[in-house]
Formats: sequence, structure tokens, C-alpha cells
Amino acid sequence: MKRQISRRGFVKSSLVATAAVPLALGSQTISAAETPAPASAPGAAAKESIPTGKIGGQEFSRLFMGGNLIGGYSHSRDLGYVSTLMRRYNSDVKIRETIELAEAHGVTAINTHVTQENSFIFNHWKCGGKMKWFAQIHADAAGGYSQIQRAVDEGATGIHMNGDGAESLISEGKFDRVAESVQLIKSHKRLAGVGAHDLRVIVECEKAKLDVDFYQKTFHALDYYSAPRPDEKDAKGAHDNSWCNDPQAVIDFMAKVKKPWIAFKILAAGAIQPRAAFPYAFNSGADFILVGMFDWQIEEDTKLARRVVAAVTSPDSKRTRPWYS
Amino acid sequence: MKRQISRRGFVKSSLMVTAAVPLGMGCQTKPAYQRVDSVSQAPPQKPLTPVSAPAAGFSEKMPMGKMKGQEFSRLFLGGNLIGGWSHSRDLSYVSALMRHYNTDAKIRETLEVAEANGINAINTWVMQENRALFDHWKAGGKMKWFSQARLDAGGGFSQIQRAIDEGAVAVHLTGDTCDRLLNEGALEKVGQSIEFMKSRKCIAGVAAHGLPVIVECEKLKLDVDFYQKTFHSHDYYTAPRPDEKDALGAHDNSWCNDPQAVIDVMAKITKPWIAFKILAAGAIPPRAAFPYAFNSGADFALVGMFDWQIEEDAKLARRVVAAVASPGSKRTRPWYDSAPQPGAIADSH
Repeated sequence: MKRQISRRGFVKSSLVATAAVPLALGSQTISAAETPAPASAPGAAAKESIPTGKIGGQEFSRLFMGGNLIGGYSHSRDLGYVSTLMRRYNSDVKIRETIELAEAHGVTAINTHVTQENSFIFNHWKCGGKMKWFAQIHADAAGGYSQIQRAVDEGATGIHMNGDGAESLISEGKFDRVAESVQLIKSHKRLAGVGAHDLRVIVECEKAKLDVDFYQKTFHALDYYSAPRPDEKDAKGAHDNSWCNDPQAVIDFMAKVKKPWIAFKILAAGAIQPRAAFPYAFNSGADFILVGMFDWQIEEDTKLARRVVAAVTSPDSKRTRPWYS
Repeated sequence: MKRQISRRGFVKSSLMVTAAVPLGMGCQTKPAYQRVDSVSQAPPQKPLTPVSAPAAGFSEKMPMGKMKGQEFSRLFLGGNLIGGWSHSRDLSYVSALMRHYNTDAKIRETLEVAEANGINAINTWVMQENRALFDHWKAGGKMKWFSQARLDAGGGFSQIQRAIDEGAVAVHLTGDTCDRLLNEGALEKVGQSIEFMKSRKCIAGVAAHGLPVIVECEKLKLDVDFYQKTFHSHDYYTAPRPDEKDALGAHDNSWCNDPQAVIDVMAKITKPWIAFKILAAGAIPPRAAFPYAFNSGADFALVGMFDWQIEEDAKLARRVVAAVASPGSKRTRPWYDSAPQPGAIADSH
């Protein structure tokens, strides 16, 4: 059954925006700030809501929406044009439509970097939308955490240093700064997490008993054509092609971690089909999955997430890790 | 300098198309069929004379070459991006993204931008949605259509006939069709297709991924007007691995398994060569692929382009062709433009 985007206001504003798109330029010229407000509250359907879990006492859908496709970070190996195509497809109007669709299908959280263009989230809120925002941040070069402050000021519910940020601090012997970021986030009464591509980040956080509210760790199989070749062993693929070099090690380690685990890059940036990746992630212990989705993928992905979570929570599930959420 | 899209007809019709796109759906519901490329052949007619060096572009005019007396820009617009055949290895969503991006209005715009930048030919499959091209013509556009065709299930040429009826200037059987016919020992069918096209005063070509198709066409002295042969280096991450030797990459990742062999064979062929898949479907940047193709002997390059890529690619093509046509060029193959002939096919648009 097709879900309706029930915001009359959104439809109306989309219409206005579409008509206003300069001819022959088609996409991409209307800023979200100019997009008139969706009037009514989202008609998120009770029947089709996505199973939820809790982080720090707050409920979130088990399926989060990722921000890479919206930001145009395609990670498309040697196909350099794909990022531009994403940015051109995802006009401001389309991004607004995408977030509304996600909410209408039961997705309650989105993850983006604090410094990317997030006005679509803010406009969504202004129009009554309730999508919760998990903001990625980096530490300032000079040692401060201005991005944390910005995320707090702009309304983030959850904040985490992103994988690159945490990994570079650890490789520089500055793990204490990851810990500082967690403390600072918590001092602002926000959910505090740590993101990682490299499992060693999580290992170090656990050793140090950091008081994180969640971990966000990459997780995907390596059974796709553009996966790293046998001699390529880095935590991140050198060709924008991998973000989890040893999924079994992740499963084994996360089995002992008693914090909510948001698994991300579970599709290996599009190379693994959701019908394979969703069960693999949840059966392997993920509490939440974070998935970039275009507007046209949301309906099918949310249906799949419902089915998979239902199956994984059934008595004969393969999952052995408790749900930490 | 930016070129203007000056057709009032385009503006008017685009408006109508834009208004008609359902809200929030904005995009594309075209069926995804499998795509093939083409091939054909025929006995060498008259000696195809290497014509004078291509007219290196002044300002924004594209250098041109001739086939059957008709002028074509050295850079053709490919139809794969418009049709949504991304060949994006294991990233299957990219084809859908292309189809969603390339709305009817955007395709029209792309054609107009291409024409405004000096490109005067496009290659698409006759069975894909070609409405934007027909609308372009109705609005006064002059883009010439090279149509791919496949055989009917029964071996007939209805797709060729359809292409001609719909206004194709040139037709060729798709590469996979010709590759298959060769494998089945039925290459005479390719020869028949050429005769069929020529009997209808159509420029007749043969396309191939596998070099043996071209070799056999030459042996049979098929009277083709052009060859359209894949050509790209293997200098990209997702290129076939050492143990992958097929003419077509098994992972939608390669279409030319031995570029040096292509250079060597084409060096001896005196027919126009349209090189296609020169970017290996997006993995090789144009700044590397264009010089490689033209220096290696291609007479024309067929390149899929999004609207935003056209201006830069057209500029690059002008620069590269000018350089390759200059005395110090690495190119050794003559430019094979078939000489104008008495009954040269009339421009149908």
C-alpha cells in the first residue's frame, strides 16, 4: 500500500516551488529557506510505524536516515560523476520531500554533519516536522569543540564525533579529546556518541569506560565486486569502496558492548542490497541501522526494516546479542 | 563563455513538460531494458578518403567529420545516461538515479545544451523512449539521430525500419547483437542488415564490443559506412582484474578488453570509426579519455553526458581535436571521413 505524504502544506509548497524553478535549469535553485511551510503535522501512520528502540531514554526508529545522499557524498568508487548527480537530483525541494516521506513512513531520526547544509531539517521543524537530528562533528583544529556548540544551538538530539575525527585523534595519540567531546556533549544534555570506521576506536572507548550513550560503527559484509582486494587491509578502502575491513571482528567485539549500536554504511554505499544488508546488520547485533535513502527508496526500505526487525525479534532469530536499547 | 539556449520552442515546450510532471514524483518511470550496442558492415564502396584534417574549432563550433557526405560533430551525445543505463558496476541504484534525474524536461534541456555547444548527433536505441528527440525536432532542433537496433525474435528488421520511419539518419545493429551473431556463426545477418539500411538510403553501421566482429566484417568486405567500436584503457580501479578477459566485463565494468588490439586493427581500416564507451562508463575522466581516443585513431567519440557536463566536454573536444589534428600530433591513423557521394543522403531534419 502506498503511503500518502499527508502534508497538504508540503504539497502546496512543493507546487509553488516547482512552478518557480527556472526553466531549463530544472533542478536545484530554490533554497529550502524559501520553501513555504508544510502546514499540518505529519500524518505518520500508526500502522506503518517502524519498530523503535531507545537511546538515553528517547525513542528512535530502528531505521535512521543517512545524510550522505543529501549531501552528495556518494562514495562511488571510481565513478566520480555520481556525487554531482546526487547533488543535482537532490534539489532543496527534493530534500524537503525526502525528509517528509521518511517521516511519513515512520523514520524518526536523521544523521548529518553539522557543517553541511541542514536548512531542510530546520525548515522541516518549522513546519511541524518531528524528525530528530543526530549531528556529526569534528574537533576544531585549535583544540576546541565549536561544532558541538553549533549542533546544540541548532537543535541536535544526539551528537557524535565522526569516524574520521575520532580516528585521526587516536592515531595522533589524543584519545583524551574523544573523551572530552563525550563529556561536553553530555554537559549540554544531549545524547553523546562516538562514530568509527576503525574498530579500535570502539575498543579504546570501552577500555576507557567512556560514558557514551551510543556507538555508531560501520558494518558491512565484503561480498561485493568493488570490495577491497585481498591485499587491501585498511579500515577504510583506499578507493572509496569499504568502511569495515573485518565484519566478524565487529560482531565479536560488539557482542560484549552493552551500549546501543547504530550500524552505518551497511550497504557499503550502495553495493549491497538492503534485502541482504538489513538482516545481516540486525542479526549481527546492531540495535539501529543508519541508511542513506533517496525519496523513491524510502517506502520499500521502511517496509523491509519492519519485516526484518520483526523477524529478528522472533524467538527463532539468529541474533544472539541482546537489544541494548 | 556561456552559450545561450536560444530556442523559443524549447522554452515553451519545456514549460509544458515541467508543469505536467506530477508533484513530488518529478521523475521517471521508464522501463529498464537491457541495453546493447551495435554493429554492421558492408563491402567497401568507394575508397574512403581521409579528408582534410578536422576543422579545428573556432570559438564554439565543434570540429566536424563526414559520413556519407553528411557532416557530424566529432563529439556525439550518447543515450545511455538519458535511458538510465549507468553501467555502474555493483552500484545498482545509479541507474535509477539517472532516470529520476533525467526527467523529460531535463532530457530536452540536455539536447538543447548539446546542440548549442556544437554537438549535432545523438545515439540512442530505437526502442527506448525517444520522445524528447522527436519534440526537439518539432521545435526546430537539428540533432541527427544514430539509432541502435536489434533483430526481431524471428530475425527480421522491424527495429531498423522503425528507426528509419522515425527519422534516424543512421542505424546500426547493437554491439551485443553483432557479438552474438558472430558467436552463432550468423554474421551474414549483419550483412543483410547493412543491405536493408542502405536500400532505404540510410547510413549503415556496425557496432561491436568484441573486436572479432569488426575483423570479420572487414574480411567479408561488408559495405558499412562506419564502425562503432568500444575503446578505453584499463587504467581505472574497477577495470577487469587480470583473470577477467572477456570482451565485456562481467561486472558491468569494461567494454574493451584489449585496447591496443583495437588500435592495431583500426589502423588498417579505412572506414570512419566512432569510438564509444571511451570513459568506461564514467571511470575515466574525459581529459584522459578524449586524447586517448582521438590520438589512437578514432574519428568520432560517442560520450554520454549530463546537461552540466556538456559545456566542459565540448570545450575539451574542441581543444583535443585541434591538438590531434596539428602537425605534432601522436595520431598516425588518417581521419577517415567517407567522401561525399553523388546521391548523398539528404539531411532529414
